[in-house]
Amino acid sequence: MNGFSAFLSKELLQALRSMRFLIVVAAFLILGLMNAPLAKFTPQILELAGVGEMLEGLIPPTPVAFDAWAQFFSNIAQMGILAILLLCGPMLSWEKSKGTLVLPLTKGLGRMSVVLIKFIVMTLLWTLGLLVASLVSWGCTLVLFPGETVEYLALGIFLLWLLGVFLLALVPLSSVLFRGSMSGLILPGAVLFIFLIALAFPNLISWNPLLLGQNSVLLLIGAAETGDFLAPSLVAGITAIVTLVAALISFRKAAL
Amino acid sequence: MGLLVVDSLSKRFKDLQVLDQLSFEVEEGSVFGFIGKNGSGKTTTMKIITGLLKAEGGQVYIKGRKVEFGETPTNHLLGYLPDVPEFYSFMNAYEYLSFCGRVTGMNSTDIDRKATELIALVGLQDSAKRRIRGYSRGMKQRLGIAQALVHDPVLLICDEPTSALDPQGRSEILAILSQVRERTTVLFSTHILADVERICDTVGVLNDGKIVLGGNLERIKSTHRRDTIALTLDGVSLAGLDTLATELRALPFVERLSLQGMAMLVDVKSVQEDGQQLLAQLVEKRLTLLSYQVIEPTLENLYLDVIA
Ligand SMILES: Nc1ncnc2c1ncn2[C@@H]1O[C@H](COP(=O)(O)OP(=O)(O)OP(=O)(O)O)[C@@H](O)[C@H]1O
Ligand SMILES: [Mg+2]
Repeated sequence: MNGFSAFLSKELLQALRSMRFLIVVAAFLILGLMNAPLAKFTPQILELAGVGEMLEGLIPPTPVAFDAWAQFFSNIAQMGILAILLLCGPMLSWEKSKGTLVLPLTKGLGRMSVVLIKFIVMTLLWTLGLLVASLVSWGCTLVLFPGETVEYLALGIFLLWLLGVFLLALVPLSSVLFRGSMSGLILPGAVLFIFLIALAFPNLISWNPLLLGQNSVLLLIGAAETGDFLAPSLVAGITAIVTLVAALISFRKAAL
Repeated sequence: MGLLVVDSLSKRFKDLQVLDQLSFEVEEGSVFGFIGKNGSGKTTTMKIITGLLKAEGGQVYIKGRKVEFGETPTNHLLGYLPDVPEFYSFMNAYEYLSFCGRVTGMNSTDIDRKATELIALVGLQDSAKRRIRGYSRGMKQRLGIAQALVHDPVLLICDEPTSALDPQGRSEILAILSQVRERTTVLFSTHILADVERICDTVGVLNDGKIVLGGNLERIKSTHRRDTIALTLDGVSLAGLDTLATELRALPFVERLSLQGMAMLVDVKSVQEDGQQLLAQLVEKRLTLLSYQVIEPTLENLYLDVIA
């Protein structure tokens, strides 16, 4: 763990100066801001556009707070996760291919520190983004749908968070195994793709970690039970730990 | 045992055998010049010494400790300047040196003192607070030397440290390398033989994956001395020179004689004794001597000989 704190402060300084920090905050601010107004005013907008009649029955006539949160969960599970992957995915592979790790590593910086800190900082940025989006969305919902509450909101958001951490945990191993400045995205991309396909197999679906993104919103209206998310959470958590350990071990013996 | 021991290293890339049982040692306190043509494997050797690359066979020891591939405890002893150093360009030189100091576990007082001292030493005072992003190649090379010296390493390894520098910069960097030898043993690779002659006491010439010429520079020169005398004469035509050459070749102490334009190169057994006899011959023939010079072997001659 040599040089842990030195490398951590370097990484945080880099997140600040490279604008990564700012981009995460801005992107998730927007993602959090859209949901409630969109849910609230969609019927009016459609009415104005003159297509209200056609969509009768497809959209609820009087939107409720749940509609705002449904928007939120689908936005974060898709755009939010994509954004954080694209922003953080290259963090290690770019350094590896550019050669910026050579100088600190040949001075004795621990290779474990590098992998761990990259994962920690990625998770930190994701947590920050999700927190910003959640708080903003909560505020907007409070204003536009006063007095309405939803159940299991915190748990639902935690499941979203877990999905993100699961995908980010694949980044270090991907960066170590493959070459190229964007190679950190290969494994998360492939895993995402495989599990998307796996959604089509009914007998496997209860284990699919992607349920954490898509379906956790169902908790909020009682259409799903907390127990339904145990298996996907276990798959996500265990996969994350195993791939992180694999990254730690393989990076110790990686040619640079 | 030397501070750095490279013992029968072998390395191949696909079907290209780059290092073939390479062995050499660098003694503590010496400045070792690592010479070899493009693609001979200098960078490869250095990457193995720093644990960045895996060798198929052989081992490396630094201060008696074995170098492991990947994470290796020997890296604490090293300062390494790669051929193209890559920095965190969002930092300035001062911040980068502080980062390096912290990585090696120095305390902040030492880091402060050392960073300031090194920035002055490599002449980056005016740009120390500018982001590295805007540095020229030569400036990066200077910063590269500074970062390699932050923690007073036991062994400094530099891959062509002078290649990107202007003549003055080259001179300054060479001065730094020979200046640090009191505390730090230096291994550096280069194509510039004049640099080697200027600061190295030991050399190793890498060719076909092996050291083909190595050891103390003075000793190499004296063992490879060929006792050659170069003569030029006044008022002798080319034809006359030919006749004279034939006559001189017949003398017992002349081992070899060749003509290079109007100059005559005479190999003898001993410059001291045979040189006198040669001069006596010329005086006897009433020839006027324009120049008489004992040729020292240059590193360049030796290098060209061994890699031919
Ligand atoms: N990663 C690699 N894959 C394949 N071949 C390589 C690799 N790295 C080096 N080589 C080959 O190994 C040989 C030695 O390369 P190396 O960079 O060690 O030479 P060098 O002595 O440092 O040359 P130069 O003086 O040009 O810097 C070259 O023929 C090179 O093409
Ligand atoms: Mg090289």
